[in-house]
Amino acid sequence: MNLYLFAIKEDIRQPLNIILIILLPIPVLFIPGHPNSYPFGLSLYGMIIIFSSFLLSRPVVEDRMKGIILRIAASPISTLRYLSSHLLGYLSLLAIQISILLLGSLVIHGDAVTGRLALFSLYLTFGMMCLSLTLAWNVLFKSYNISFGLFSGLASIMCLFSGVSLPLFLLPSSLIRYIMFLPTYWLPYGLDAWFNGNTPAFIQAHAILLVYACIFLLIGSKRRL
Amino acid sequence: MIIKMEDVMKRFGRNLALDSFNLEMSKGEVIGLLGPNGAGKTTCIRAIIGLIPVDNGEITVFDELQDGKNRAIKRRIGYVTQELTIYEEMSAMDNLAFFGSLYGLSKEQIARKIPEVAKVIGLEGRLHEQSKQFSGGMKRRLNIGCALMHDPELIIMDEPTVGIDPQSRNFILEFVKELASNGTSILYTSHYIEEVEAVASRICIMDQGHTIASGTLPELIARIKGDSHILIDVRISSEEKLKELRAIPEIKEAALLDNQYHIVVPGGIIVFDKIIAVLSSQSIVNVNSKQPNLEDVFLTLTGKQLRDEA
Repeated sequence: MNLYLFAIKEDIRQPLNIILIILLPIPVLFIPGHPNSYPFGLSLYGMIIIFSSFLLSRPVVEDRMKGIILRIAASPISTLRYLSSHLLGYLSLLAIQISILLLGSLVIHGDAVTGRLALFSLYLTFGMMCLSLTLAWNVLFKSYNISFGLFSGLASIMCLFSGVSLPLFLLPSSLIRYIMFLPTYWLPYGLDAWFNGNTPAFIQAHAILLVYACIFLLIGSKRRL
Repeated sequence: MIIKMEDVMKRFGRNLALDSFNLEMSKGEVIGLLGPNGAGKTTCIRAIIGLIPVDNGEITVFDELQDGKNRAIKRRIGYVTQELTIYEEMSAMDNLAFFGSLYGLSKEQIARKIPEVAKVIGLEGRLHEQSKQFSGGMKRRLNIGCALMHDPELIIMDEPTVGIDPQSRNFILEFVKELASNGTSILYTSHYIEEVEAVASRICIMDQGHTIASGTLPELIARIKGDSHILIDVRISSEEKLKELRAIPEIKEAALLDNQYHIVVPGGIIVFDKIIAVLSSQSIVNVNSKQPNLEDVFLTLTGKQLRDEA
């Protein structure tokens, strides 16, 4: 069993994770949008990605908290391979979740939502950023529950002010220049660009999300024995 | 040479965890590393495995420099951690397979090795059960089994019997002896002196980051030969009386364990009258003298009761 398959196996062993992956994207599809915009559920789904990332990456955090990381560090496996295999495993599960959302959108919204491949790529990049963010966040804590409790509050506030759980056009423009430093801002920004067919802005959203992902990954890959 | 540590120093902030520490281990040796909490045992182990860099000195393992990046060294070491580092949600088989795969074992090698290891650790027939359903002893055995999948030439066992029943402890000790008889080199740390006495071919006593004494059990006992060990059981014990005993110039060492004073006196010196004078108010129940063992060696050399410090 390689590390990648082991990471997936560890996650799908938890019934909550299965529910999270399969069922959670469905309800957001029924949330309507502004008449001149995309269904708002597509933006709110970003919040589900954040929390899914946190729950899916639990095993890698627990490895650190339970000391299993010691045994892994004592093996010939490099930290990079260990982390990348796990994150790839979690990203694969997120990819399944995203696919379920997009298939659901095909059934519910039909042709009102187009360019699903582009959306898939945006969500996946956002998912990478979220997984890295949770990894970096958990470096700060020794207890998963405390970490999750604080993260829940912070993530909810971040989503509220960055346009994930509240449409961007409702936010005052004076606030935008500040909230653009929030990594979560770049999902609704990318969604707007996708809806308006603004390809450079769409690519920009991807690029910035990837930069954030790299920064968080660097922080999160710090080995703590 | 399996392990060679030369003048190794490791500092954590102001705390000097390893202070010019030296250790040598030849092939097939079982070295028992003894020391109270904070003696530097875990730091020593982690430095050997390459989990932490050292500030000074040199460590070679299998005649190769241990710089933490040498995967060839890691591939030849099996590490049994003090804590249970197994996946309790997973079956014993999945645990063995996973930890085997970390060492590059192929599917076929893993499939062949699992029944072999399961038999050695006495878990055959329980392989498909989730390890969280196992008793403490079984989990400990699985913890050891995970370090054996890749046939390591050197096994490092960090207190492998902590918190288990005597039956499982005996199982593990017998198993360590069997491994050693097959030529595997073992570095074994424990707070239980009798365990180290039972398995180690050579013992290294460490305290405050450096080696206090090293040698075979008879060699170590010979170092304190001539000393008399007096055990006095009392009804009421007190730290004050212990201080008074220590103040007697003829007494080499004195310690208190529960209601028993353990006094070391150089051979030929008669101080019973002084001891009795100090302890007369403590209701003496029993007085004994005995031959020195490893515990006495430890007490004499470090001035500490190992078990108390655990």
